[in-house]
Amino acid sequence: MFLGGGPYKKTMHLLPRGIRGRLYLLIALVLVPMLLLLVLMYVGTYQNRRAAAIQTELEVAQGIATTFAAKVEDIHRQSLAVGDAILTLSPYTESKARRILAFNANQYRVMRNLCWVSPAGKVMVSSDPALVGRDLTGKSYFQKIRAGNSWAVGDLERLEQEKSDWGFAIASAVRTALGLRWVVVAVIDPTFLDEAVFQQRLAGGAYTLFDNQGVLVFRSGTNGTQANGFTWGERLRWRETDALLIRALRGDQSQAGEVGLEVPGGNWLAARVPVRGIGWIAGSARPSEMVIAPLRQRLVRDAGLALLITSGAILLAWHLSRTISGPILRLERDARAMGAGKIPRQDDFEASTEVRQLRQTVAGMAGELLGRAAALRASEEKFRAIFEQAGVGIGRVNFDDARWIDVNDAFCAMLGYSAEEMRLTPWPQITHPDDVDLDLIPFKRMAAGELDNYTVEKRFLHKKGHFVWARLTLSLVWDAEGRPDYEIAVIEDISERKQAEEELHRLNLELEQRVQERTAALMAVNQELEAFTYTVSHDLRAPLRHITSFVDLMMNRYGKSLDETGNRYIRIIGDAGRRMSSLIDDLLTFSRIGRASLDKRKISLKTLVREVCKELTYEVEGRKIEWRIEELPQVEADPVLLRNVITNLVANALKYTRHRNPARIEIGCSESTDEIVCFVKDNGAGFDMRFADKLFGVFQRLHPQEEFEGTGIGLASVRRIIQRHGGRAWAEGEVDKGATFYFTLPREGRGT
Amino acid sequence: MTLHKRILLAEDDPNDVELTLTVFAEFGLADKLDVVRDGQEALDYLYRRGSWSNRPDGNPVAVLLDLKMPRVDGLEVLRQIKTDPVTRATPVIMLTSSREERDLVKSYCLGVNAYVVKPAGFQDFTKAIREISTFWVLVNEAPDSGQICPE
Repeated sequence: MFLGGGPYKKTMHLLPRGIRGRLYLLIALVLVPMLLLLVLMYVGTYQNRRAAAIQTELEVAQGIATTFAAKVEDIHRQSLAVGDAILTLSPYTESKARRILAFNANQYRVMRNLCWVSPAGKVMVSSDPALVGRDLTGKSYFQKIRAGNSWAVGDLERLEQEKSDWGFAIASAVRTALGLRWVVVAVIDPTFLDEAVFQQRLAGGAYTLFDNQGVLVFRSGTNGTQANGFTWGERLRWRETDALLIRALRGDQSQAGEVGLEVPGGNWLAARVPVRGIGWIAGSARPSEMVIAPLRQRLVRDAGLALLITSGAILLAWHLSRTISGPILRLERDARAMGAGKIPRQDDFEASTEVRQLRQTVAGMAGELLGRAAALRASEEKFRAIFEQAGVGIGRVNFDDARWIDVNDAFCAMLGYSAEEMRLTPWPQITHPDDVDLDLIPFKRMAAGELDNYTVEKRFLHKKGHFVWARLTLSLVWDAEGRPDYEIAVIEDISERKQAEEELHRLNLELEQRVQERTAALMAVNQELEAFTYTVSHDLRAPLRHITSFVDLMMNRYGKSLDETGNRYIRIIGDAGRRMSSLIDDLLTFSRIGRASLDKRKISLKTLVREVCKELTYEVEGRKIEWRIEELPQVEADPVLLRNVITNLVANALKYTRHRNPARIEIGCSESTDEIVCFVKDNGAGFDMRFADKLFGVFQRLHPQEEFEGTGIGLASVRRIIQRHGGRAWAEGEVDKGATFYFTLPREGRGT
Repeated sequence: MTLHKRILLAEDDPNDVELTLTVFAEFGLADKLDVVRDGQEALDYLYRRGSWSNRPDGNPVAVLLDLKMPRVDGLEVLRQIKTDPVTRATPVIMLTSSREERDLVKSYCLGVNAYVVKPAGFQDFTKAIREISTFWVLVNEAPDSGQICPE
């Protein structure tokens, strides 16, 4: 809007609010100036007409004045001619003079009589014998003649008292070189001035003639009626009431205008013009009504028309408002109904296309809105239900004062407060003092909008005074303007979990304690074991050595003096001692295998096997042995210990194939994803599978010492070494069919 | 000044002493052997203290030390011999029942000259002793007794 808000609004609020009102206002805005224009036009026309009419009256009055003056002069000349005629009578006789006078008087109907008057004012001869002898010296016109005027017009006067006959005199002086000799006085009957002076006036109008005193001399008839029957009193009324006349009499000037008259009544457009040389006033008038009437007729007609147009406009406006604002009002009602959740019917709606489309759009929008509102309500109810019935505590927190906006029952139950009490209490007040900062610092950050959510585990203060462990999940909710609005808190009672955790922690500590104790015990045992083996290796071997050594000495020095049996005994003692010694050695070796640290590195199993086989083959020279060694991989193992394993297994195989010719020894390997499986297979004595596990026990033997020597520690060592490498060792076999010993090694990077 | 080529045997076990003496006797060296029964006595012998205060001056050509002895054990005697500049040059041979790794390592760290596990049989033992005595007493040239190792 280019208009300033303020003034525009100020203007606007003056306007009607409704469409109907505005439509009427529009019509008024168009019609009122039109009507005003019409009125102005009429006023103008009326004034023009009036002015024109007045002008006409003026002109008519001037014409009358001129005509009347001419008539008077005409009569004056006539009188002078009559005077000449009488003077030239010779002889002069009164009867002759009277005849002349009478003849002339009869010539003019307007002329009532004609008198021959002596300069002394005495009527000498008259057409009317009754007048002879009258003294006219008192008359104004006679005095004017005496004063030197050649002629004079007298005022209107009643000629005879008993009759309503009015007349005025026109006196003409008959002068000779001797001065005033005679005066001819013609008495004029105004009644007939009509014929003499004026044309018949148009209907409605009237001519008038006033004398010097303003007395009505003559008035033409209106509408053809004889209007000269005025009484004297009535004739005088003009000069009392006719303002124009009064002004004309006073100022000797033409006057025109509208005047209210008493005698004929009503308002008249009139003009009053002095008659030059006489001092009389000629008048013309017509009733104002005559000018106004046709105007009024037109006015009535136009006003009717305007009324018709206005009514039409109003009707149209009403109709328009009905077809525009009606549907809009209805639309508004519908919208209100939609607001209340009802969808209005679609039928019977009559309106313009635009409004119908608008209504359809609105109805569509309303439908969608109602759908959304229903969805929103459903979601809100769902949220409400979750909020109210949740097993966990839920609450909303105001950022300004850290108070709860609302809390659910579960939360109240958790802390023992009523919802009202909760709402009145900022959360730091019901939080364990040590835990306040834990929550307050992220809370402030969230209030500043820096944090969307956080989780905290803290202790709440129960109403009864104890603390409740809770896990809070807090989420920020933004308002519509994108500012932090409030915080949603989901509170889980984790007292039990915390207890369990504490219990677990305690148990862990206990366990750790126990592990330490056990470890210490184990280490002590280990140390004891070590001390034990150390002792064994020293102190147990010393007496054995003494036995064997002294037995040897005895054999050397005294063998000859002993008999066969004695020598045998001595030998047995020596063998037993040596066997015992080797048992102790093996046992110590085995014990060392269990304790020694592993030194794993990458070694070629193939090389290792070849070396061992070569080494051992020296010991069995002369035997026929078929070796079959497959391709063997690289393995990761302690080289010393693995050599021990291979040596043990190959030596075993050689030992138990002693009675085979040829002996077959097969060494191979297969790889899986996890491990490498190696085997040493022979065709030797084999064993009963029932005792397969016994093979790997310490000092366990399945064959008599006489048949196959050995301490029974070899396979136990194998199993222990393989186990320490994270592998397994086992055997398969059948009596007299041979045996296969397997061991596995985890593949590189796997196992322990 | 050379000591009459004495050999010191420190051994607590009388059986071993007898065996050793027997073996030495077989080589005719028995009279060269001075026997002490524990580490303390061995030190007394070396420093001519106590019952050995009257022995002739000079260090033995070799010291045969049993590892496990009452009071002062063989390793301690070895340590003292090898830390004292006066005795340091004297060859020390460990004679022990068992080849315990840690004993072996410790002995070598202390500067032992040989480490011998007593064999189980007399023949083997004889062989071993003969080799030792032959080498250390007859073949090996030890520095003159009383020579002090420069620090």
